[in-house]
Amino acid sequence: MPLVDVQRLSKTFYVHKKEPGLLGSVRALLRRETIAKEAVREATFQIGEGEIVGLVGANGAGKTTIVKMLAGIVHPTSGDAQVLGHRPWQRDNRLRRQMALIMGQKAQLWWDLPAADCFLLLKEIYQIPDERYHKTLQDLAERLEVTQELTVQVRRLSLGERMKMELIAALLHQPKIVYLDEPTIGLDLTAQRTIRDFLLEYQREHRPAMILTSHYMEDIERLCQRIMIIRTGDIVYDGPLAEIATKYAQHKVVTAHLQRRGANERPSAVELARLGEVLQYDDSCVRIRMPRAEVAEGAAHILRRLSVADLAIEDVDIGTIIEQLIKARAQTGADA
Amino acid sequence: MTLRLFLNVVSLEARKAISYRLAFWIQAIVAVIAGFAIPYYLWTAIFSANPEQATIGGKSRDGMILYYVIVILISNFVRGVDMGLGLSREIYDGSLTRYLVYPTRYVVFKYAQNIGGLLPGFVQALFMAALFVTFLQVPAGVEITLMSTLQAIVTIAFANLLYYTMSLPIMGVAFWADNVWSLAVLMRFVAGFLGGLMLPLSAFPEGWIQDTLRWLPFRCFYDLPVSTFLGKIEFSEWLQALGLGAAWGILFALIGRFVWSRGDLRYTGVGI
Repeated sequence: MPLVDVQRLSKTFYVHKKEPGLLGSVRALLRRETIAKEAVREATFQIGEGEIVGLVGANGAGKTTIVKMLAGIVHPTSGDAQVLGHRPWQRDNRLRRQMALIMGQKAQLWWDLPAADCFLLLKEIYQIPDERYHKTLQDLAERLEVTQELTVQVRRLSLGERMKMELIAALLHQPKIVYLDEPTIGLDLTAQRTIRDFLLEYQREHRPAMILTSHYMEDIERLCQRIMIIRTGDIVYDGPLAEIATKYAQHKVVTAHLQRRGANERPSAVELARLGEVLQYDDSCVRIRMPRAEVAEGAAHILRRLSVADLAIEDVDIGTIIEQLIKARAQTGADA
Repeated sequence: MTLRLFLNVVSLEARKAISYRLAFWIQAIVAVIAGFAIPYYLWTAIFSANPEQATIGGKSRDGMILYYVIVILISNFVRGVDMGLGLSREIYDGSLTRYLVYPTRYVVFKYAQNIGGLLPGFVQALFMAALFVTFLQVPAGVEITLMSTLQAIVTIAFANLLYYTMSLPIMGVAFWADNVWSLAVLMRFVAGFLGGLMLPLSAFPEGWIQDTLRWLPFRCFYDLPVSTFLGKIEFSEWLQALGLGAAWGILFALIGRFVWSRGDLRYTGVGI
């Protein structure tokens, strides 16, 4: 049985429109036009125990709205969702005790207090037994290397340290469902890596279902085996990350680094163009983007005709494919 | 919400209130000086200008100053620290989100925070009491007893809860209107004016105006606690006033529940 079961979930927001300028502001005092914005359209999916699912999409695509509905923050316009057997927006405490939301752009800890004080309050909120609380806190703080910072006022911590404290706060009660909204936003590369490693390790040990939204492809590639791509409210892809390339990348790039000798025997650019799109061809290197089905034959041809020192066959970068899927405007199945 | 959690939130908020030492002392001292000096000089000037008038609204100069010193002190406890505005701001900027995820009731959690934030008010109360005892005398006819003090503490606690309950439906308007600062100011003004913060209710025209004011909830905020503390109200009248206030409180709670349940459907959790 899935931990998260979402059926045709939709959300429409109604926002006021206001003309720019002073006149627009004055007009808005008397009459405002309201426009409906469909943030999520009939989303349907399931998530099982131990899965980390990445929600990927452009700003405003609807990924955070899905998280908000599943965390019980906003009510859907239509459709249904069950998280651990509860409707999240009914805010049953039995569900809320097993769920956590980490918002990279919104601090949840109390700014003026040391993190240790905030954790003590969370201990009471989640009714965590003393022994388990101390053990979990020590474990999480050691793994994230913030033991020394526990007694420092939250506002005096660096962004990376603060994010680590937010993670501890969210995981103290060992939730079964974890929503991560941009957990690495604004962090330096080292802090990003530390948090990714930590999340992977935590997921392996505790097996919570995790939903991650992020604009950083590295977060997605490193953490998620499954992704959902959302475009203007529609889920246009839901499946394994690894299959994205096979499904949507119709080409591969063959790169051959050439030996110096044998330059006279080289084939013409026209000949190479028959294999695919020539991206680069000079004394030292040839790069050709060729159809996936013809890669074996094309690579063999290059090896026959050129003195090759090294050969590499690469999928088109997954981030690029996802980016293209996110940006694609066409609604046909071909592009999605 | 368990009592243990409630007390923890109170404690946490109290620690927050004193986490900035300098701000805490400046706030306490300035509030004390302003709260004492303004009524002192104002009413001394008013009584000096009319030497033939020994009382105003039944109160002598010292009686009037005592009333204002107490009412200013009480106002801190009754209104709490920016309590109403805090609620609407959290709806407006999306800070409400984190509380919706916690397995606890938001309005009770915020009430506990409000209680914890009252700590600086206690310190101010001690200073003000010391200043009054040093510079003024308790006027004749005023009888502050242990019983009246205990009754006053109960009344202040009740007034705090009633004020909070009254602010819930008004602040809930933020679900629709985003910014309800003007409503909060209006509520504060009306509660202050009709509750005895700006003028003792005894100074209002006698007759139907005073009768009406007695039936409104605002009396519970300032006039009732002060009258109770100064021993100027009978026990039965005190009980009756609290009963009436409780009825208003239930009404506000019901309206607040309705407004928040409807507003919740519109909440968008901006900022994440």
